[in-house]
Amino acid sequence: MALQHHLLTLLIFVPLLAALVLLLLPARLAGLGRWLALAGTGLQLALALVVWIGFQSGITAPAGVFAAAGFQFVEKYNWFHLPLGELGYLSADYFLGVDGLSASLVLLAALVMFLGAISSWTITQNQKGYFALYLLLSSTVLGCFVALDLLLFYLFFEFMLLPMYFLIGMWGGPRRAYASIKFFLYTFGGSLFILLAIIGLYISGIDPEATAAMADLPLEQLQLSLQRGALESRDMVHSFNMLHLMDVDNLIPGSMLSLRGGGELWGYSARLLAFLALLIGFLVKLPAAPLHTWLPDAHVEAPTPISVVLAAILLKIGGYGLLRLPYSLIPEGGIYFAPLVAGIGVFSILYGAFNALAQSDLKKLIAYSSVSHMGYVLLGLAALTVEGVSGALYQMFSHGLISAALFLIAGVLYDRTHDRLIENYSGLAQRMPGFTVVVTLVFFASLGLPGFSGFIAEVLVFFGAFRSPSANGLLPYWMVIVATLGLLLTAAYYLWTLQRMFFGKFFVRRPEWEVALQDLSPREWGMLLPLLAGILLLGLFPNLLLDSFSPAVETFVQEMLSRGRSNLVLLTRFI
Amino acid sequence: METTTPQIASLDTVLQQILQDLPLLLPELALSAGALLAILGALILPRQWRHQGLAALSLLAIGGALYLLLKGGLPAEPQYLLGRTLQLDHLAMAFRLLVLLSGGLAVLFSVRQHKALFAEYYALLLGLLVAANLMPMASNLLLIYLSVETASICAYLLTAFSGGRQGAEAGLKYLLFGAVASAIMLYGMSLLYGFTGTLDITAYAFKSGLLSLNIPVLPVLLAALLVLAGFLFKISIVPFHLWAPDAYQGAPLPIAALFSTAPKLAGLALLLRFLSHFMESGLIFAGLRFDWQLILGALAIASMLIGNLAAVWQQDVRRLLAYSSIAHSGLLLAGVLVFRELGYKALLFYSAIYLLMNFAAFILVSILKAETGGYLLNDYKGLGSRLPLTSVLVVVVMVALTGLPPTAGFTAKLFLFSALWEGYSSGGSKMLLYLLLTGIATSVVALFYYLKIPYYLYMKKAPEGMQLLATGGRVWERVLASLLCGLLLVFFFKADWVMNWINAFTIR
Repeated sequence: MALQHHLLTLLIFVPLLAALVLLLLPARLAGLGRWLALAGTGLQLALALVVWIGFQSGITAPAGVFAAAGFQFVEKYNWFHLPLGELGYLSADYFLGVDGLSASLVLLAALVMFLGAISSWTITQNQKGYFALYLLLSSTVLGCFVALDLLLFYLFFEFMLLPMYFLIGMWGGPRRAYASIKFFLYTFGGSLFILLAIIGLYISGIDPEATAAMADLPLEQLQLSLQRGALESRDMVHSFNMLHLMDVDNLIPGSMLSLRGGGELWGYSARLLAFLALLIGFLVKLPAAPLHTWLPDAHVEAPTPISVVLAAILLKIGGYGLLRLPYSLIPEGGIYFAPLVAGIGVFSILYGAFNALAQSDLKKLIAYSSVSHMGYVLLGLAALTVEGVSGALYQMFSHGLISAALFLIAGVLYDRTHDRLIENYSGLAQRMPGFTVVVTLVFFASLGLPGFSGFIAEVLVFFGAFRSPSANGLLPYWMVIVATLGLLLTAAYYLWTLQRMFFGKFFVRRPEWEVALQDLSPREWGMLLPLLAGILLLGLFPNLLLDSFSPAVETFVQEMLSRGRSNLVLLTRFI
Repeated sequence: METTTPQIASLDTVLQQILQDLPLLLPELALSAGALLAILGALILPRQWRHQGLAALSLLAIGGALYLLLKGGLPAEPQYLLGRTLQLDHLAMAFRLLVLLSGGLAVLFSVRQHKALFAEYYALLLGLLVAANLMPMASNLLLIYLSVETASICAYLLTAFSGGRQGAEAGLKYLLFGAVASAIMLYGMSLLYGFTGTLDITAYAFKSGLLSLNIPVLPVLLAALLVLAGFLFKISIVPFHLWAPDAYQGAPLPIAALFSTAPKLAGLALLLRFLSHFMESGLIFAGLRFDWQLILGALAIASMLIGNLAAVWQQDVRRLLAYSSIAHSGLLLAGVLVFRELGYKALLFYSAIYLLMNFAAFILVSILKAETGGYLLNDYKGLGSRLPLTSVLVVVVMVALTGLPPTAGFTAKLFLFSALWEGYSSGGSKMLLYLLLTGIATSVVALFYYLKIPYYLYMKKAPEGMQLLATGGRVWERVLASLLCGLLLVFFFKADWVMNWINAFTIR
């Protein structure tokens, strides 16, 4: 068997396999769990690197996004094919592939999962369960980024919640039960909106290739006869294939979510409502204020490695999902709701930053800073300019590294003292110089100092957003100007925290902490250094990342604008 | 009366007719024979063998019925049996099959339940199955009433079988509610008979009688609603659901599991048949501007809301499952109301998966009861690490009941929601959209209470010095539960296996 043709499958199933092995181990060998987790995620990272290196990038590379031909490492097999009588057939595919939008996130996810496995070394309670769930989580997370079939995507998207629920609920802090249930309910609630839109989409659309085979028509004529209404409903093959559903010519005329003669609900265009449903679903995951309230609880109560995974990857699934589902599937929604999306982004930036400023718990501060930073993703995306969308993607990768480092930092402190209150520490620089250097660098990176990855991301986002009013007229200037206030607030809360905790006279609340507060251990260095190196590298050589997604982003923006505008014309009766 | 004339044929022809039709009713005959033998066996079998012997006999009867049903094959055209009192079509066949499966599972579940169950237990169980098997076929008001009533009487007695005050109380409550419901239904039927002069709902006279301009509108609607009330009682749809929590709590667990499936599914089939005759004669009701979807849809929505919201407050797992089954009834009713091909397919799919989920849930409750001695959520604290397999199975079932992937519970909801969407978007009533939205919104509530069980298992600490009563015992039930959970997972990945089975049935 040629393994190189199944790279993505391996990427998903290697950790799952490790989890199965772990579950079959006898209880006395449960201590091997962490090694298995390390091996499983390590192998996954190696595979992700193979994918990254093999991924064709640069201007000449195929773009992907809307065209199946542009995806790389594609695997496609039929999952099921059901006759539904009058309604035709329903088929779902096991369809994986990588394009510019997902390649970098695949690498990020594998890297963070691996570092999380190292960070999990300190877990002592019920190791077998923990590491099995952790491995399961890394399978589903990777699956989310490479699935190109809506049903498959939804499977990974939902299945992720279950391990996460147990990981927070069983190994978390004192209020873990509340936090884990809240996390589960919020994200499940959000994902039901997504499910609703998925159902609407697959019923409204067909898979032209399969239908052509079924109806015995040449593929070229199929869309034409579909749009003329010449196709029998019994012959249509409905599928969950995202890429087919992105093409409005594959939507059945007169069906609910079709463009021509599309349906309405309560006087609103069903397509725009479907966009909103998908938007809400992913905004919960991202999260954007005011749908973010699960995040501070989940982050604070989760054990360190799980906070890391949550912040660095799970939030990115929200951002990635926005690009792949609502925007790509219903482009006119991206145009029509651009001010709304940007507005939510700006609100998140400011709301998150103000909240961070008010926190007394270090982990909560970091959690709110995540809300604020994810706001930039929304702002860049809403602008629909090449710079803006690149900035959003860059911000996702950069925040993945930075937030992972931030939560590891909070973990370093918590491991030593079991306390995270900012006011309980002062002058830590004197006892923990190495740690202080790392913290300072990561804080600077997060507040967007030049030379770090965060700077590139934010510059791109603001560039894109400022260009939007003149380039495509989607966003008003004032919105972008208000958003810049976020930069100031971010600097304020980070610098203030740095000053309160690390500089000044040495002080800790309890005398026994003085002994406990040792500088970083080699294991901790081992986790933080690669992240720091990544942050710096991406701050100095943005092309490392930009190259991988530039063709995809260009196509994305171009097509979004042209498709979105022409689609919107057909929906004018609603506007 | 015109319809009674053909039936006053010579006795000879009638007998001939009956003999001709009997081969098609062999499954019911096998069950009836099993029930009689069970009563006889109780007298003959020595005490130490009685329970196993009767269980084996019942299994044999159900297995035989299943075999005969499958061997008989599907009728190409709807057939009318026993002087047009029964209508044998694909709808009836599909639901007979489901009823038999649920009966088989109930017997398998009962095998290791109570050592001292009375002999009548199995006889009554088989009796209930005969009635539940006739319900999907009944097309004559008299037979509808008879089958519903037979099922109910068996059910009242079975409820009280757990003995003690609680069993008696549950049985009595069920009996009181049930008696009122059946009286109401009977009254409605008598009105319908009065209006039309026939008991045969498939007859032309039935339709033309209702169409007739001599009859005022309101009484017809009232009569139809009174009859429907009887069916809805069996399906435990709000506001006819009040018996369910008490009956589930008081009845032996296999019987509670059976209640949540066999009579409910049979009742759904009955409802579907009854409504389809009214829908066929939809003209009248369009003329009256009377919308079945509207009123039944409202009840389905109420069931989803009340069932799910009430379940949140339950401490007793049996009551929780009872309210959850009320909520699922709402979803199943929504499937009926689509009145389109995809709706029927989704309904059958949901019914089949629901059957597996509910039996698995009750079997696990039984295992946990054997281990902890209780049915309260509080009794489950910290069991996750002590009973790893059982707890994992509980998680799988709860995930399936919530409708999350990777379980067939998700697929079932996906099809049901798809059917509602498709029904609405191809020009259906707006009610379908509201049903869909309610179904989706209440799923979040459902997640909350279903998750409570894993939450108690894994995230609460066991009280000091808690002892498990029978660690390692109950192997049989564990095997059964694992099997059902396995199927729930397999049918997610291979939904086509279930769907291909369903596609064999054409329901209109």
